[in-house]
Amino acid sequence: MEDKLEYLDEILEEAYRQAEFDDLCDYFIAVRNGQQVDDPRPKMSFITKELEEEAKAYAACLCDVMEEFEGTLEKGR
Amino acid sequence: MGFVHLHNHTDYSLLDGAGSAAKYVKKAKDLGMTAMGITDHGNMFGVLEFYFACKKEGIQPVIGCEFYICPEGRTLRDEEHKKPYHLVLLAINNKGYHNLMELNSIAWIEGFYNKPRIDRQCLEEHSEGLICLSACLAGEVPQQLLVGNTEKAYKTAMWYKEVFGDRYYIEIQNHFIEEEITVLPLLKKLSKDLDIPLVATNDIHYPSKDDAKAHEILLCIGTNGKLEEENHFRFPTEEFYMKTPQEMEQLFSDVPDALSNTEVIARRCEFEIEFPNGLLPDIDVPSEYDCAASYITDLAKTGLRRRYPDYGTDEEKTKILDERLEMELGVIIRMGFEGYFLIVRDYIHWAKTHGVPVGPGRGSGAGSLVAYCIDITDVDPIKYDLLFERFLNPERVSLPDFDIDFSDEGREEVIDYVTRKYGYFRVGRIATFNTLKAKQVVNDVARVLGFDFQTSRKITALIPDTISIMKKKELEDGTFEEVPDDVPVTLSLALEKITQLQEFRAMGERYELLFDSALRLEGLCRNMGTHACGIVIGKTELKDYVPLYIDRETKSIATQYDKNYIEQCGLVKMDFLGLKTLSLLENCQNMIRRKDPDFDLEKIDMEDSETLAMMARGDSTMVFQFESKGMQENLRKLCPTQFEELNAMCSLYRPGPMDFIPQYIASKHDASNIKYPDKDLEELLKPTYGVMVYQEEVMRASQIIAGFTLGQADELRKIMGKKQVKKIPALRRRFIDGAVAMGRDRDHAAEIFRIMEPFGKYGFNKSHSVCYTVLSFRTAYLKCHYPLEFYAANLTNEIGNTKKFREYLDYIRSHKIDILHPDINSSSRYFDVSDGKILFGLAGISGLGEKTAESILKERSENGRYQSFNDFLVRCDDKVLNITALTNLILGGAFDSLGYNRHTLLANLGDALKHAKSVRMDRESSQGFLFGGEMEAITQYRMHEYPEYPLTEKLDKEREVLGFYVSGHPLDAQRQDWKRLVRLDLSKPDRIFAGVSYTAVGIVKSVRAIQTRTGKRMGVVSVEDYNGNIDITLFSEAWAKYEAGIAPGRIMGFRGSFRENNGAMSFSASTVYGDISQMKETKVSNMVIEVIRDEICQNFVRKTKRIIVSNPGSVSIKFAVYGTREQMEMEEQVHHRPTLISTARRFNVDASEDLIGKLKELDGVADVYLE
Repeated sequence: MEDKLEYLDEILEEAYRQAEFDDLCDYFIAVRNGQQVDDPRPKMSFITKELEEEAKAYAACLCDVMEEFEGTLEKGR
Repeated sequence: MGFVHLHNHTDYSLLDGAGSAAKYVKKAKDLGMTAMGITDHGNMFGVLEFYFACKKEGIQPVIGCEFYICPEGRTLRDEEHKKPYHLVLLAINNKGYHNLMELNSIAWIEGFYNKPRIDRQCLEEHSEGLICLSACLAGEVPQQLLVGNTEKAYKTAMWYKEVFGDRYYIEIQNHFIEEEITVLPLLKKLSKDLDIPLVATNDIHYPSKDDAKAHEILLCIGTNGKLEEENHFRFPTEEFYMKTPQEMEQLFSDVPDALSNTEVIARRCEFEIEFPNGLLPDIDVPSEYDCAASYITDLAKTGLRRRYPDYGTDEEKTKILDERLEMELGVIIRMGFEGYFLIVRDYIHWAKTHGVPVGPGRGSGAGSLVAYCIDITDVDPIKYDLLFERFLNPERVSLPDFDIDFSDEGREEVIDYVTRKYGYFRVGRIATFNTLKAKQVVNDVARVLGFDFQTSRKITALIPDTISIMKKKELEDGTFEEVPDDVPVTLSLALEKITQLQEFRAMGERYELLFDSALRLEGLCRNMGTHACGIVIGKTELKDYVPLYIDRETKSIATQYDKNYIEQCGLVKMDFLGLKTLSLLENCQNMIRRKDPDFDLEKIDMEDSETLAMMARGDSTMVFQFESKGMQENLRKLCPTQFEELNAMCSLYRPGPMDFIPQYIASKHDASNIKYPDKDLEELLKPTYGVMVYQEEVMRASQIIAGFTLGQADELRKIMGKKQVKKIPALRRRFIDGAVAMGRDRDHAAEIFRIMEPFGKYGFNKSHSVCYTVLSFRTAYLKCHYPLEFYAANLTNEIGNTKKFREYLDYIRSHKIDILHPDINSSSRYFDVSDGKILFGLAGISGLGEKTAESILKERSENGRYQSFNDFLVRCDDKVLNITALTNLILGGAFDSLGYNRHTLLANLGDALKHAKSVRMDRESSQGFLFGGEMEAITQYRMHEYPEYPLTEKLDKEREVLGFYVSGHPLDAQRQDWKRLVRLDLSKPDRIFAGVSYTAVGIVKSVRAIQTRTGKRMGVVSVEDYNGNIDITLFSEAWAKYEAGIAPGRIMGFRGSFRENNGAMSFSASTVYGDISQMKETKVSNMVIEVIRDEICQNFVRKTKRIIVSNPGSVSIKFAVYGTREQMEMEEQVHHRPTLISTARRFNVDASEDLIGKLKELDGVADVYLE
């Protein structure tokens, strides 16, 4: 049971981290598209410098694909 | 007046004491006390931690224990003796300390009944050097006084006085408990009447008064109670804290001697524990040798000739070997470790000669030539350039540490051997203690406070494992800068950094209590266990060195001190690890030897080109350490052509050094990418293409560049590897000075150090890596050259791991290899190979077990094949074979080859058994004269034949007893339709997208009708196909339409889509098909290209676009972008779903196999599929 709880803990924690990561990506995408949006970073708890860099690179990759293929983001990430 | 607390429960009074040794000692110091006692309940787990905490703070430790005593006899285990008395014993010298340990060990080993108990007899025998206090209210004397048995109480006190003389004290306490107040004057009177001095104590269970609530919560954690429950276990008052001397004076002002006696006792208990440090057991040295040193020297030199056949002929090599062996023997003997080597050699030798597979080595020990020559390890340290100094640093005396892998099945046998050899009381396991960590403590406290599960989940989910804090780092120029550093989280750190946690804390009194209590309890011991693989061997009985307890699981003796203290106490720790891969290799080799008796895994070509080619294709499923998809991808990129490259990959494929893999691969394929930090390092780093993969390379580099000795180089490795940030600046200066002294430019030297640092941080121990890659290569070799035996051995190894087992099964079947159900005349105990097919083992049949399987096989090997089902029943012992085992053998298909179908056999089983029994009885009564033809006539039983079960039922029953479908799958008859229609892979939930239309085809396993709150009826149908299971929801409309036709056992088709609900995906069908051959294929509408962001090649987008636009068609393109491969591989975690990008229609393609192939070849494309 303890293992299960610990596992759930990890999943939830990862979920929070992922949610912040997604928000940060959205922010970087918006910035690249020239939109005026609030910087979410001051309110974030799980984002390390490393993750921030990753989010930046990830967002850049998404933007590259969208620009080249005239693509749009689908919901439900 | 001075006062010393002599009665103190630390957190090693598990889930009862709410203060750590460090906390108590600090508080005692703050209160101006000069000494402090430890008296945990029935154990000495925390004695040394407390002892060293006192030494650190300059306080005198008083070592003791509050024992449980059953005066009449420690072995009495009945209701009357279930509740033992308490008794406090304190050591006044080393003799007393040893008696304390001895009594404690006796209590656990001989006297355990609900609690570890001593008795008067052993107390009398081991009273020397001990002070005895009559203990708290639960003591023998106070209890007898309380029940009015004054005479008995006086007699008891007199007995103790006779045994301990002036070392016996009557203990008085006052926590404002009614009984205490009753008994206090009686104790004072007894003390006066019998002339036994008094001593005042407080029964400390927590440091401060305001810890009382947290302590109450801790008790609830221990007793699984809740604070709101009326009758939860709690202490009667809040007085069980470390009181100030003034508070104690107020309580006992009428008996000043009772107070001053605390100091008297403390002074009497002042002594230094004598630590013998690692004492090796005596070694059996054969009579022809005068000592262990000459014995090991001879063994090593003889081994050298055996290990190196060219020794003596190849002059240069002989010189190298001689010098290395002399050097190593010199260090080993000078340090006095020859005995240690011989002990390890002895049990490895035993294992090898008793059929227990032993690993080729593990850890740094493989760097020793002596170890190789005396057969402790099986990896040539000269060939693989492994360093002895990585194992034993000649400049620093510390016990070496050989970690040995044994097969998981044989590990316990070796431990049994060691126990037999040295004696039960000289060999033991080692205690470990788990502490309440940040998440756990919040979780536990929340439960006690009655928080609902979801709230406590929400809170604990906010606490990370590590947290980034700013630390000062010294720069090369001597200045400092603040750099972020990840440290393990503590609750206070998390509260400081995470605003959501602060918000929770501010939500009211209940939340404040939660966090306040959790902060107070964090870090305390929660429970104890036994070290997973550590074993200690004593020079004499273990109780001479440490207190002991009995490990309930293994029933073996275990030390009460954990691994941090045992060596100091005189014991030697050795790790006996269990490795499943060794059982697999052994099993596989045995199968191969049946057709190739000379096959020897240890003699295979470690540069076998076919094996390397297989690995270069990334075909490494089931290969030890190379299984993951990420590793397979890297293998494809690397195309390894030698063992050394596999070794490097094995070392690099882990967090941290993984960043160097692209550089390593690029440098292998194009030498212009290789950059050596210094030309003098070229020779050293050539084999690893300029990348410092191993710690040994970092060590050698410091030798070459800065002239470090190998001992200094090992220090450097340690400082860099263990990130001892504070020591780095001095190390850097020493390195640069050394390099300058060797004629290098100061800046260049600094640059080399800068390059070396990250490698030093992540570098891997080459000795260990070679040993493990040898095992990897052996598994790869078997897979390449003996795939059937290898797969069979893997199935046997994973039979208890359903997920992996099915994965392997699918893999094997996808390679067109048949797996047959068990057969009574062909099957072995485990999975085996027969006529190019894999045959199920008898022991794998549910309800059969090893013993039954063994008995069936024994009878077969002694008296030949079973001729018929009846023959089997007559010949097999019905004491071993019960009805369940027989039924499962039938349903698993074990008798299919004997002529009757499963239904017939099962229907006749009862009568056939009766008949078999009577035949057996006849045979026994006629003393065995009936054999041959007459016997044959009698054993005939006429079967009543029945038609076989319908296929689905037969397969289902088979799966029930074998764990999976073997003879076929219920879908087999419609496999083509399934392949044509289904694009939904149930084994890959990460590839399921909400809102997209899917088709599921499978066998209906169960049907459940549900009534909603609004009274509507709907259904959930559980369906299984080749890849897995899925629950399909039919909402009211679909349910009303299709309910009648849906039945378990039917193969049906379902069309519908997924929707996401709270992070989970659920499938609901709108159309159901009873006849799937009539279903039309789902139109392919999308081609999904899965991309891993951090693996994509340069110009990835343009390259992809070029391919796409040259294949125009009607299928639209979607990109599914993952961050990392790791994220993609976390299949079951929905939040790791990729970001989806739909592309414009003008990029629609013709979804041909050719196009899919081209796209898959691009770096960074993980997969391409249609939906």
